[in-house]
Amino acid sequence: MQIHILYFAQLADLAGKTEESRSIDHNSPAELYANLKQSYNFPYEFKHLQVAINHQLSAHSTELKDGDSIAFLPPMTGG
Amino acid sequence: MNFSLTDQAIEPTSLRRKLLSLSAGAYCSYEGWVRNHNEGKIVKELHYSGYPQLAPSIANTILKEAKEKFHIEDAAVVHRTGALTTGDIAVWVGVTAHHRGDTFLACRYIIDNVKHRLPIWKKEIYADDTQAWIESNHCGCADPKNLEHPHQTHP
Repeated sequence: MQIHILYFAQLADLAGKTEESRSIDHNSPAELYANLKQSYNFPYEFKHLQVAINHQLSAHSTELKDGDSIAFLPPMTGG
Repeated sequence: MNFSLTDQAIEPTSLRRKLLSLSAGAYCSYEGWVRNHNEGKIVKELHYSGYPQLAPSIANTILKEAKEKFHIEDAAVVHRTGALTTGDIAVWVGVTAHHRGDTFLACRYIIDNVKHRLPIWKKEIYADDTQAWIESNHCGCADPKNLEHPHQTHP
């Protein structure tokens, strides 16, 4: 299935992009992040990130569906 | 909706005007400024990156919580994105209430939660042109759990 990924902050810098689409053969955010972590040398562990699916905060265990948009959110540092 | 992300300079005077109410006896605001140093380094710019499709719902949840926890009339938050230089206002919070006590408590509750929960990230650009994403807010914040209103009785 096709997944759209959004990158923010350090993850965007390391990926060299703010978004991309990928074809994946599973529905697990954890597995997707593990692959991205390896591709881009992301420093964070999955458990330290929040997950947003279709622009809503979602549980780490939420299963992805074809066409979903997902973002892995580093600890927030506004203000 | 009393929240916005903006890449334009924050103007507290006009934002304050939007909160004016004849039934409010108190107004409290917070301005987060870009300072010229952090942890021993000279800071010349801050770059804020936000998630505009998610930030409004988080901000409105925080504002709703503040209205439930404290006796306030209204509250608003504006956060900058993009490149800011020293002295710029990065974030503004305004709160009105019948009495001053709740404005202070609610204002602090809102800014502390904005710093930890709003999907915005801060990169510091230093005088030597190195840069770093800030990984946590060492801001002297109170634990939001300790900011419950001492006389909270209303829903």
